[in-house]
Amino acid sequence: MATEVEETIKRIQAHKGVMGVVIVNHEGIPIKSSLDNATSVLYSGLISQLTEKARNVVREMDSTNELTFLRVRSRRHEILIAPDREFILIVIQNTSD
Amino acid sequence: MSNLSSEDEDLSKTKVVQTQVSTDSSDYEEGFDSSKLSPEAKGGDKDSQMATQQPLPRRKRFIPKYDVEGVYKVALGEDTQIQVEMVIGTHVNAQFPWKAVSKVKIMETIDVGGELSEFFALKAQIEVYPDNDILMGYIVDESKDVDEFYICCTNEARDHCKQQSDRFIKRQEKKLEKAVQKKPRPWKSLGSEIEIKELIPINSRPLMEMEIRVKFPKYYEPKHLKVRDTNASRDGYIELTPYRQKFNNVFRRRVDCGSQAAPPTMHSYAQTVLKYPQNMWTQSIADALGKVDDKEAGGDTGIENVEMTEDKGPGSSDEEEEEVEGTTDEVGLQAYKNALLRMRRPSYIKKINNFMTTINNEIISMVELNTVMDMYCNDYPKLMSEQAVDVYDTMTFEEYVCFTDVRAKDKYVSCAVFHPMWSGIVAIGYSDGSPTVIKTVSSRADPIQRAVYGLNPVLIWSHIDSLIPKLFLESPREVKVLSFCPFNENILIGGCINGQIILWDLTNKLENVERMEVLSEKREKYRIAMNAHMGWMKNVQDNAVVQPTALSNLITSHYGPITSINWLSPNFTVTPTGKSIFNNDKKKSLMFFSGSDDGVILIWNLSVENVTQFEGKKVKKSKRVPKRPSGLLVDVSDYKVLDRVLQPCYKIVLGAAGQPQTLPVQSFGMNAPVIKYINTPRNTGTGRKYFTSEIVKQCEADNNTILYCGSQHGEHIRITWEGHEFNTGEVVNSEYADIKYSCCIHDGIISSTQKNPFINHITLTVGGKILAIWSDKLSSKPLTWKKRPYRLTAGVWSLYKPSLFFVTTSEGDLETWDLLLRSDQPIAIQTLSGNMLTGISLHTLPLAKNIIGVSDVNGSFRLFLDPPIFMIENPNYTGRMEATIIRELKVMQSFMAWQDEWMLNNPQILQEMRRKEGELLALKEDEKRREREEEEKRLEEEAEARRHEKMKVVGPEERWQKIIQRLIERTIAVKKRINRAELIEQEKPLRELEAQRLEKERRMLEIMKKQKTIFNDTVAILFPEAIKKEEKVKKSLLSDNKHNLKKSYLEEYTYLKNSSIATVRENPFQAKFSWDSTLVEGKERRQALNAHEDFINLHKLRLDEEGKAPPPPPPVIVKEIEAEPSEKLDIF
Repeated sequence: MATEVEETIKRIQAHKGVMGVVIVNHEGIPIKSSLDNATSVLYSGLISQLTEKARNVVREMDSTNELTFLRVRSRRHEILIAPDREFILIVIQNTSD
Repeated sequence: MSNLSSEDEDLSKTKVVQTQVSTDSSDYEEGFDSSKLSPEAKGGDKDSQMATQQPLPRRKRFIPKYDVEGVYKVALGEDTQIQVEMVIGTHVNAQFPWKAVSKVKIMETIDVGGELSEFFALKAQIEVYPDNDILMGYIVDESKDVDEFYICCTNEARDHCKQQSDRFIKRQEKKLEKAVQKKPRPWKSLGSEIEIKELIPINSRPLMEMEIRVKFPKYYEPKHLKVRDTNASRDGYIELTPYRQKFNNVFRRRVDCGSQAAPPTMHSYAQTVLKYPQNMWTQSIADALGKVDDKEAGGDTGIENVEMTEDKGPGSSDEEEEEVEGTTDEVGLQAYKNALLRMRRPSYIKKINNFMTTINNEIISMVELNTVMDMYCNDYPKLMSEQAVDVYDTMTFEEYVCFTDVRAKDKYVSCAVFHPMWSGIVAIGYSDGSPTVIKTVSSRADPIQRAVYGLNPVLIWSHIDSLIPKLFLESPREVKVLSFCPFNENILIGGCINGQIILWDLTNKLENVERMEVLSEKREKYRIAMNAHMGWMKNVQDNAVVQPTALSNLITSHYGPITSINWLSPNFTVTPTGKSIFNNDKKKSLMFFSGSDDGVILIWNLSVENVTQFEGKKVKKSKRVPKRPSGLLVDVSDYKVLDRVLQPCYKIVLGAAGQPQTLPVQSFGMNAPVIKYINTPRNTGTGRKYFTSEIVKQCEADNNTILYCGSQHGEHIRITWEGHEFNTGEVVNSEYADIKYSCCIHDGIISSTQKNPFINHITLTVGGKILAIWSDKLSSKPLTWKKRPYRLTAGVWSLYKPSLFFVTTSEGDLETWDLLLRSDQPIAIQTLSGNMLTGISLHTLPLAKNIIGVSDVNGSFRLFLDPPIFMIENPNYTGRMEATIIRELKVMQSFMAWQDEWMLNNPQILQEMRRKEGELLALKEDEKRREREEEEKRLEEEAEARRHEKMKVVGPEERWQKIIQRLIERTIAVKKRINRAELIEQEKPLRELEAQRLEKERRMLEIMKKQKTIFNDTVAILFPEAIKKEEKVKKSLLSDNKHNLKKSYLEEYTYLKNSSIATVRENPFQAKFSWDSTLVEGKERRQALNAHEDFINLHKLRLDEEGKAPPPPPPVIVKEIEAEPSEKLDIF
């Protein structure tokens, strides 16, 4: 279908340290993924919950505000989460060189 | 305690005695001095006086009796007293009243005075008196007016009077004596001692004996002062704070404040529309996904999963689990199916595309940022960990210090070697000549004078002090080459110009010089004062002067100057028969090789053990001094026994047997001993680093008897030696070396030959203008060689990189070569000196900052800091270097093989070449012969002419004429009083005039030459307008006919105008607009504005899933329709 989406994923994938890209729909179902099924499902399920929570936090504090981006920094990875109304883009990047 | 008390008693006794004495004295003085006594004692004394004086009768006072028969009294006047020399006060007095008067004088007075004389009455008695002297005595009686005298006119009377007077005098003296000296008398208690005794402690029991044991004899244990770290100890130093210092006290106030943070309780309700829980544990969609894929999309991965599940299905016994799986799967599958269904929809695709485009830039920038740098890394721990970042930006050597000494004036640095174990110490030998310097000798110094009075300085410098050398090593002959023993820090070997080996033992020498003598201020002053008085004394105890410890035996040494020294690895020994053998575990040899001008390489053994066998010299025993003073025995070297005894253990002659010519060795290379240096700090306070050597174990296979020798004529040979099986009977066994090959590639003296310290089958030689690299595996040809445009003076391999070496040139440059980087030219050339460099040496210790030493033709030795780029050590380099060498070897070998083959196949070419060469040679010979003949002819002619000249007979007539001529000239000169010098003097002004005229003419000519320019200049000055006009050829862009131009421009304008209007008309601007897209966009915007869009969508989707899809509620549509017009407005 969307070659544009695939291209974008490829472009992101080409960067150094990028381990995987997952696009999740609003239900937490992975639509597109460069990872294997199990990991993508794992990530999508957990992160969509986290995102929802984060979104709620932001909105609770100020109803006119909105969550635009979420970065989860860990010792091994950094998970970049770009939430949208419909989708969530997850990029997992290895930062410890 | 007891001692003390007894002493006290004694003291008190003496006191008592004193008081007794004083009472006695008061006895004599009859109480006049009683004031001295204490009142108690006085009272006591008076009692005792009373007790003693009364019973004893007082002694009768002695009164001398002179009035006996024969003694007369006579009164004498003053004149008579003078006459008979009996003047009262001068001749006699009250104490000594008696005097003998000569009878003659008395008789004279009688004769002169007659009856008037006082003696007249006694004339008869006097005349009768037999002796010459008459005794007379003065009667001390002040009551009478006249002076009366006794006169003894008989011998009896005289004797009596004498006796009486003597007795009287004695009495008087005794009395006086008694008055002065007091006799001690027995103690009489007056009762005072009781009081005294009360105060004195008296022993009530026997004294106790006590034995104290002390170690005896006491050993002399001098305490050594030590250097103490003041910072380490608590009382290391006292800090003197400023006298008055104000401290502003800051009072700390404690502020307490409490605040209670209590969040207000808030209740909020939110409806969560979660259909089913989706998390890690429940979402077993992974398998389901595959199935869906299989069904719907037909993915490859899905098939596997299906298979797996199918396999699993019958295998698994647990039915319930399967059921559970099934149920979850169903839910998950449904959701997934729906999601996929939705994904097919174009609107959905569009949505996802939009999402991707909007998010794309942001996410990519973030990912890029992450790839470029880690924003969140903690820099501090990284900063803390010391990672030396070396900057390899420069290849230049930075000058560090320069050593020059006055004693080495007009000399060259013959050799400079760094100490292998002490950092920064370098030994430098100076000599009159250097092999690489071509010197035009104008006047040769007297060699004997030179040998006797000349200085042969060998100095040891430290990099800390560039002004004064640390040690001055004495040497009887000029030292051409120096070498520190690489595994014994105290041995320095030198090779003399006369072929002798000289050895200095440096034990404690440096320490002695550097030890600071700490003197008190007084001693310092005293020393200065003493030295000022002792100007005549020569200081012989200079610590800085070191005498040679040993010199080798002159007879068995070299016959020419020693040119190079190399040490044998201590793991091997060369036996006196020349066999090189591997040492057993413990034994270490101390051997070195020396090469000399005389074409011989000698092998020396420094171990002291086997010296005795050579010793022939008797130790002269001095009878006068049975034992040397200990001061002379301090620091006596172990190697002293070698002095004039040391002789080589083997000799290798570089030549063929039966031929007199040998190869004059300038340098030779052999395997360096493999030694590991370990830093062992010593507390000497000099900042120097000390290392200890550890001999790395080698095996039998490392034995290498290959030597590369470079001669003074540029010949390079490779030799080996084998040694004899037996003793040949010579003093030093010798052998003609086995010359493997000889190659005359160098065009000058081979100044350096060194084996690579990493790859020991590679050798570097530098000589003339050529540097060459040789391999053990390639014979009779260098691996590679390069010719430089100037003469090269020395070369040395780097200690860090096997492919790196440094070469000094006669131009004053230091070339750095790296065979791995470039083999055709040096990678860096640095000019270090204005004139030529003569040598180079490396500091061999593994230090972080290392130095390289370069000696120049002025006799100074300069140290440079190694740039860090040349100090990179990498084990890879060795492999790469070896690969390069193997490659080069292959190239050379294949080339040689090809050449040989070709020569074999085409012998005629070789013949042709030979023929041509022969022709050329013949031609040259011819040429030479002709030249020689011509030369001979010329010489002969000249000789002939000279002979003719000589032979030419000058007739007497002609000679006479000549003499006459000269005579006439002289007479004329004399007559006219012409002096030649005067003439010249007088001629001077004329000459000057002439010179001035010439100068003028020259100038005029110059001016004439400049004619044109002058003319132009004048014109320019006088008529500037004229010139300016000429220059003013400005080309105006406007042509003359402005009118036409205007017209054309106008025409152009109209044309342009028409054409542009036409184009505009043809291509009208059309704004693309479609209601559909506008609507969609508007809707999206609307959605964005609508906060509850999510919920609505959710509901919508749920309905979709349920599959019923009821018609959307009308109010929503109305709302949307209503929204439309406003959106349109927004758009326009």
